[in-house]
Amino acid sequence: MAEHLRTGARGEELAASHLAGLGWTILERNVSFRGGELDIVALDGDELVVVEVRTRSPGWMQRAEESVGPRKIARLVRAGRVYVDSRRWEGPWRIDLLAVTLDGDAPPEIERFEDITAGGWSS
Amino acid sequence: MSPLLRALLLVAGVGAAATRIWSAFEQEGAPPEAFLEGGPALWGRLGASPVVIEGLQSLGSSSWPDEEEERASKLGVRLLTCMDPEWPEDLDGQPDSPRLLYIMGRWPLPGPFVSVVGTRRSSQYGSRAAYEIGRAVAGAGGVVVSGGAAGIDGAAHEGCLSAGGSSLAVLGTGVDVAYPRSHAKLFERLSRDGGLVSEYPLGSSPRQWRFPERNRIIASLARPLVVVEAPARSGAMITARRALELGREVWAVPGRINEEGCQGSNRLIYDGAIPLVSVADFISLAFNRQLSLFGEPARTVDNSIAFSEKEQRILSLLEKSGDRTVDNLAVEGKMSPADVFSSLAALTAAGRVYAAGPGRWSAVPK
Amino acid sequence: MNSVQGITLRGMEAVGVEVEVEIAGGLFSISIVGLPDAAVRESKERVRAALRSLDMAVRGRVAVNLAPADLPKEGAVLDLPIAIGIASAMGRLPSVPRGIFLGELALDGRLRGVRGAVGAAILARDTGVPLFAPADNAEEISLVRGCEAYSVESLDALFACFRGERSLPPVSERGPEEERARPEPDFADIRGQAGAKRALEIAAAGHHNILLIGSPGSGKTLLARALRGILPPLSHEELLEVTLVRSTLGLPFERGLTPPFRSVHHTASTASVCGGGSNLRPGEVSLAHRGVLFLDEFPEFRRDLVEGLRQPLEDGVITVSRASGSALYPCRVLLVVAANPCQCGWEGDPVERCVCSGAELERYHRKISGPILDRIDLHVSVPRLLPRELVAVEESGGESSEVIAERVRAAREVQRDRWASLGFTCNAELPERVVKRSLALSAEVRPFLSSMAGSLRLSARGIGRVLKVARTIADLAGSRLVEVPHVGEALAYRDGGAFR
Repeated sequence: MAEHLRTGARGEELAASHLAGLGWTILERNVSFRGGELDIVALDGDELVVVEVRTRSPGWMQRAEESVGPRKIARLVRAGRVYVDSRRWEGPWRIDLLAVTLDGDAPPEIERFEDITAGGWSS
Repeated sequence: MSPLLRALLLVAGVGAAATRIWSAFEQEGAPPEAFLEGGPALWGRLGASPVVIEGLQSLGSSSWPDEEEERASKLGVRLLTCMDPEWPEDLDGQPDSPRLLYIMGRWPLPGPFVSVVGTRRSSQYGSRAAYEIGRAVAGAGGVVVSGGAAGIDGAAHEGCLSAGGSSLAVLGTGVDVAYPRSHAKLFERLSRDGGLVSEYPLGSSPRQWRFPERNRIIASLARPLVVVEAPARSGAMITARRALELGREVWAVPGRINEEGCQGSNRLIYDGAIPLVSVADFISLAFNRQLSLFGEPARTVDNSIAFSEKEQRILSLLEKSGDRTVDNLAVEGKMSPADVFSSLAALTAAGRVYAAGPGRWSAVPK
Repeated sequence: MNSVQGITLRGMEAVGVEVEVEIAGGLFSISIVGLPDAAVRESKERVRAALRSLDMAVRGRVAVNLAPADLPKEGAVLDLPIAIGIASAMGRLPSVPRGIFLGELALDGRLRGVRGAVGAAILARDTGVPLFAPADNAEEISLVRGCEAYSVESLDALFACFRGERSLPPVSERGPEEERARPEPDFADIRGQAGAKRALEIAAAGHHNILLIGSPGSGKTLLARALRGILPPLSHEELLEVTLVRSTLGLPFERGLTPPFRSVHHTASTASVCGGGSNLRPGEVSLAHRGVLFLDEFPEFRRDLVEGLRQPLEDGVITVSRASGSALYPCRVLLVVAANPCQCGWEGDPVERCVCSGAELERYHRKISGPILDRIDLHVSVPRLLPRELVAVEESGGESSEVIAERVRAAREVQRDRWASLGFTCNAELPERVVKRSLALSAEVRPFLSSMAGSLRLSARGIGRVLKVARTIADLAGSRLVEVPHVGEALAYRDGGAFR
């Protein structure tokens, strides 16, 4: 496994346990289907959350949360829609971004950005 | 059309500068037909420039003189030639004497001609003085001659007409052209109660050189000439110089020595013109010599209106001092602003005071 | 489905808007339909943040419908009803009481003042429902008598009231206004100018428009400003009218009963003077309603603007129209017009020299005698007082605005009583046909006028104006009949009587 993929997998692992620690129910991980892939799908109370995990090592010029541009968000929204339709989810849902920074043996840094579309995705 | 009129129309048509050629022609004593028949050879000998010769030739071969005569008769404009018994002799005797006049209005006009001239940018004081002189001349039976321009000219005409007199405007445009435009109404009244005169063809538009030219007519007709407010370099000064050359009597209204608009007229006084320090004195001096001809001069200011005590107080305050504001009058006359306004309105209506500037009143010069 | 009532403005009038909210599942979004303008569309950001500050996270697909659908909605005034609608649709509010709600939301849930609160209060009064408005607007709303209104500090306070946890402070009706403020500037502070002061007193007494001609530095602007201080104080209705116009523009409430004074520069656009713009806002002429409109350097004003003002000033109302519609605003103003005596300003000045050419003077005088000037009854010229003249007038002192205002008030009362049956309130309003019949002229006036008419070149219209002014002068003097001295003074203010 390539180095960056290994980092990514470790980041997702950390993310899942972090969310579980918040009291969320993890529904699925690495859901992939035609039209996209979702890292983590969880339930925050009665709201379904699609979680995009970004893992980075320190020294990267770009911060994790900055690496998600409008094209990526559009893809996430599309994929999210396909997912909630396929699972017949009718309640509210949103997209969160989880930035995981790994620095060798130091404890990982995890930051969550809630509702990254923030109503800006009205259609 | 008489050969004389045809010849003079041609001369007028090519421009007033050509009148000198006509003077030269008159010296030769030939009949007017000879001028028309002589052609370019004759005109050249008389001193005409190639441009003038060409103009005379092309106009002479065209129907312009006949058309001009027809236009004039349609507009009620009289074409007065120097051979006409009603031609004013005062215009004769100079190499550039006019030989043909377009006249709109009454002609001849009775009475001696008093020319009143001055700057177009007159002060309230200057305009008022010109107006009063105009009134006084009319009251004495005279005719005010001026240039019909804005400022002093207009005020003099207005004053004369307002007293029921006749006034003559010598124009630098065709007699059918209203210039300045704001004087259109004045010209209308002049053509009814006086006259408009010009040596330029009908429809001639205002051109800079024509105004000094027409000033020689105003100067020649002047018996005497009065200059009210003239800057050192101005048309009025040209008129005054010309009048002095002709031996006409020249009067000048004294102005403030620090004002540009009065430098010319004040200089005239220094050079020997008679200072006009009182309108009444001017009238009696200027007209007495001709008393036998025109009888007693009429009273110029209507004194029949009885003023109230307050009005008299205001009037005497204004006559004693120069211009005054309502504040000054209220304090010095010990009355309310309301009474001051009321008195000023009555005195204005009676022609005894006038607005000299914003919020300032002066007594009308006597 | 719940609906919450808000308002939008059509001209000065507040029109009710029903806010309906529906929330469905899905990725969070808020869509607003019903012809919202940009400010309304942006309200979703403010509303969501404000609700979040109360720990109400908006989720799912939110649809906001503003009815009636064909009425354009504008401004942030709908923030509050939209927030209430969403909170209610989220099931976070027990019940929403009947009422009209208005207010702009800050991100932390505080309520900001809005335009049109006075119009909303009138709507609430007329429809008999309570009004919930931002505390910032409480003062102006208190002018509307018979309106049940509550002052709302924040969304939190309002929701607490809905839950019955506490009550909102009611907006109490404003009692009769306290003493008018001391006028600024006071006539007593202006040195000299007895003539202009007298003319302004007549202008105030009969509501006559006035023209001031004077050189720069003669104090025309100061005199014009002082005029408001001698006008009769605003009545409650008038104050409400003035406040309604200001509220439409979102201008803060002005205390006191002194009539407004608005000065318009000649470079001002037609829209800013007459009203207009995309929202059909009222212009300066309406802000001057019931007060003084001052046009300085009048000859410099564009002809079309002056022409456009002519009819509205006559009618007291101005129609502002655009493709998007039209609105009617009041503009009953006392017009004060100032002009220099000539282009350079110094014609007739005792010291400075005028540098205008003859043609310039002529052009200027033509401009000055243009349209609208025949709507101006009083023409007066203002001298630039020289230092020695100022010293001379200093001793005489001057009356204070208060003393003059008292005379003006008395004269207005006489006029109101006299013209009540004809439906006029002051002499300046009299139409030409009424003037000669009903002015109560003394027997000597007619022969006096005809003796003056010739030498002063008065037109029939000019005589009508002189008589109206004379009537006011007689009213100031407490005289039943218009006597010759009254007409005599009025003649001094006639068209062109001032100067030229």
